[in-house]
Amino acid sequence: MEDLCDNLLDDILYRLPLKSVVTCKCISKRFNTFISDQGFESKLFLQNSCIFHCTKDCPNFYFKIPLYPPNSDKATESSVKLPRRFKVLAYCSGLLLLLPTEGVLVLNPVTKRHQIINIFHYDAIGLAVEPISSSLHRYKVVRISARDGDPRQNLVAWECNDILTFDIEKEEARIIELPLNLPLPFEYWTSWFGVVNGLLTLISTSSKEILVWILNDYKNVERVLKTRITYIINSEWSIRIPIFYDGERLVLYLRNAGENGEFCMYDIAIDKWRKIGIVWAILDNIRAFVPFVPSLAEIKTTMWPDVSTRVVQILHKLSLLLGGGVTLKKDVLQLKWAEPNSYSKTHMRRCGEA
Amino acid sequence: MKFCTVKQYFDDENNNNVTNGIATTVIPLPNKHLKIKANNKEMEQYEQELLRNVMPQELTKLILAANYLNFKEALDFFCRTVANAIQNKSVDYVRKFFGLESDFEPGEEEKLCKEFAWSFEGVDED
Repeated sequence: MEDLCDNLLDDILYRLPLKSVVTCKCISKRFNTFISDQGFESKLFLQNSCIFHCTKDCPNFYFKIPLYPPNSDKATESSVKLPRRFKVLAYCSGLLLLLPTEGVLVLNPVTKRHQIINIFHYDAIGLAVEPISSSLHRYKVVRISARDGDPRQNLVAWECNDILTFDIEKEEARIIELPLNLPLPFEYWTSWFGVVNGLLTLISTSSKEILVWILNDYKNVERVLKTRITYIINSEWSIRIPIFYDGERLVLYLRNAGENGEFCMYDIAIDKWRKIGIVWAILDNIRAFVPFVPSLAEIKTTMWPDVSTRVVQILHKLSLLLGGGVTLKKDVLQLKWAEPNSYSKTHMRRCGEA
Repeated sequence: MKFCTVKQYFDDENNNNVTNGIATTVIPLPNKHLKIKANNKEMEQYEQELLRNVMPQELTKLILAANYLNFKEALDFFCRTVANAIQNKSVDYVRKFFGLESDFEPGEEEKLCKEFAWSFEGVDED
């Protein structure tokens, strides 16, 4: 075993589901150092990343499209049925803010640890996460409301395309004005906005090209064109939404009304497009997407008796779907009543007949 | 094209990297691959047959042999087999599988197990 060089160890370990790899940290010092290495960890998280999507209004079914084909020979779930009152309120850095029928909680689907948050107004709410180390993250639930408490004025300030940032440590908010001379208007359906490698990044698509801009300097309002992608796969399709971008790869959701939608990944280094999944034509056009990248962030766990069994079952299904687990035989919560694949087929048949 | 290393292997008389037993397992693989290239199921069955009698320690040697011979498909297959074998198993099982022993300081291992306690839930029994 000592003969196995790091490359070969990598070749074996990166094929394991996240949970198993983390267990291997306890085998020996070499395994612990190897697995805790940041490069290996990023590669592992990317291998286990996925696009998590559902219908925007009152979804029943949630689907997962892995960014990379699974390495394991054992089957994993690709969809899950959850109660209609269930909502994903926010996502940030591997953590989900959920409304599982009653009460709000923060969940890490990989570790299954969750914390109940005592708030009762669910609008204009978000999750801010500051990763400090691999398993130590600072997280806060943020709610935007007008200072004088007038509920009608909740979101007015944010219609004019400014960025609201929140400092987790100081618990302060700051507005960054977007540069007035942005090359293309920021439209929800064809643009993407996020932080990549510490820099605010904006992506806009048109039928001719995709532009990636980074905001270098907020005070002087300068923006730099980082990448221009001129060949777009299926560029004539009417729906073209950037979903995921990490500096090296871009995932677009492409669809023509009434037809199957496609998720396509563009690898910037090798200038190649690859189809990674489809969305059936009978599923609603207007969908919500979460580009899920797992993390090992610890959550201050709420003890079991405070969370109802029904909620625990929901969390368990989400963990199976997103946490990269294999369906366990000896599970205490025997989910006999929930077999996602057979439900999906019934649902689709019913929709087809209608 | 896949076999410049194999030629080298036969040329080197004192070769410690690949013992005879391993060579007889690995070398027929590419021929078989070519013969049943299109038929995945047959290949799977052949692979299952091959590995039925292989002990875990030999798997490590097979991986090293495939790596030395620069034989990508075999390496992929052997690594996949090892990954499937150790998936969702306890720390002790994996240690025994690879013939390893813990080299942690006293208390270090307990600390790690406590930090990642969530990953031990639902692990297969040995």
